[in-house]
Amino acid sequence: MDPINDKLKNLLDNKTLRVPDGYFERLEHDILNNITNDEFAEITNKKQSPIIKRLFIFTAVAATITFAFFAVNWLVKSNANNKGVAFANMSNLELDNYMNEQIASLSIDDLYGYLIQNVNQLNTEVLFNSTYSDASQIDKSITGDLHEQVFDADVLNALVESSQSNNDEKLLETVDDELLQEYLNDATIFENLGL
Amino acid sequence: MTDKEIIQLCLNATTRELGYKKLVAVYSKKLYWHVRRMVTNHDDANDVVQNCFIKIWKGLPNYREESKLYTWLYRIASNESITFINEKYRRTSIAIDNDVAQYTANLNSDPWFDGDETQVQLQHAIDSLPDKQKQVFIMRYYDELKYEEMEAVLGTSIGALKASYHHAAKKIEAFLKATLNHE
Repeated sequence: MDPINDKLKNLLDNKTLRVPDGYFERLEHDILNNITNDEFAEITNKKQSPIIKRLFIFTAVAATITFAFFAVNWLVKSNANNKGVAFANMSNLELDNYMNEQIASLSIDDLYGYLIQNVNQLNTEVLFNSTYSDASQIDKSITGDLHEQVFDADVLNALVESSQSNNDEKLLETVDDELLQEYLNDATIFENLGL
Repeated sequence: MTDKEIIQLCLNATTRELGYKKLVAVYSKKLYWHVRRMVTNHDDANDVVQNCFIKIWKGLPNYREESKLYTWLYRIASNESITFINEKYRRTSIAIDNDVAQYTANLNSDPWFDGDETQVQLQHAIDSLPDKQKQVFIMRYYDELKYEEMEAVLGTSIGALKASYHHAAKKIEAFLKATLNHE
């Protein structure tokens, strides 16, 4: 035995824990009785198990599968109906606004990322054989853009001051020639058009 | 009857009951005292040891002779005792380290505990040890198991077991000094 303080050893060796008289004989008897009862209980449970347990398990599994099937169906239909009703109830203006909002929410990074991911899927024929490969279409596009570009802040102010008209020709007559010439000479216009 | 003979009887379905009776006759007293020192109270020890023997009976068909019989039995008894202690203190929400008065009252109410105030304090010091140290101290001091045997029961290295025993003995000695100085 490992060395331990003598006083402590005396204290530890004192028989402070007692048991009732004849306890160990009864303990053996009780233990063996427990086993007999335990075995009996197990046998009883086993006899009951085949019919009741299997029936219960089968019913529970069937009920679970049925419930899951109807729940999934209901959820799918519910989702589909909600989306259809939402768009069907929108006016054209609302739809336009919705689309504009969606487009406006895209950042340059989103667009750039999309192009990076999808540019490989583009067919070169689609790129070069588009309507923009037609010279007349390009002219039209540039002219149209130019037409819009001349209306910068100064020009528009001039138009407002001189009691505007929606007719382009009349508008151009009211614009100061020098101002218009100066604006057209500005190289950034053509840079903006990609020329 | 040797452990090997008991096991041979227990592993044979036709002689299992006879083997189990022999096992109970040989080990019920030893296991009771191990459990009693772990849980202290006689009624608690009685419940725990009976649960142990039910587990032993149920585990007999799966018993592998790789471990010695007493090693297997001690492991079951020790684990059951620890589980019982933890459950009991969790149920009653009493921290044994903090509530000395409650502990003393409980021990004094046990008709199968004979001890003066110093013995109560000593028992409290033992019960306040961490689970592992308490297991090691009881197995080593009272059950007189060798470290190799304790290693097989607890699955802890001999070095760690020696350290645990040393710590436990020092804590109890410190308690003794404090108590005696106080008196």
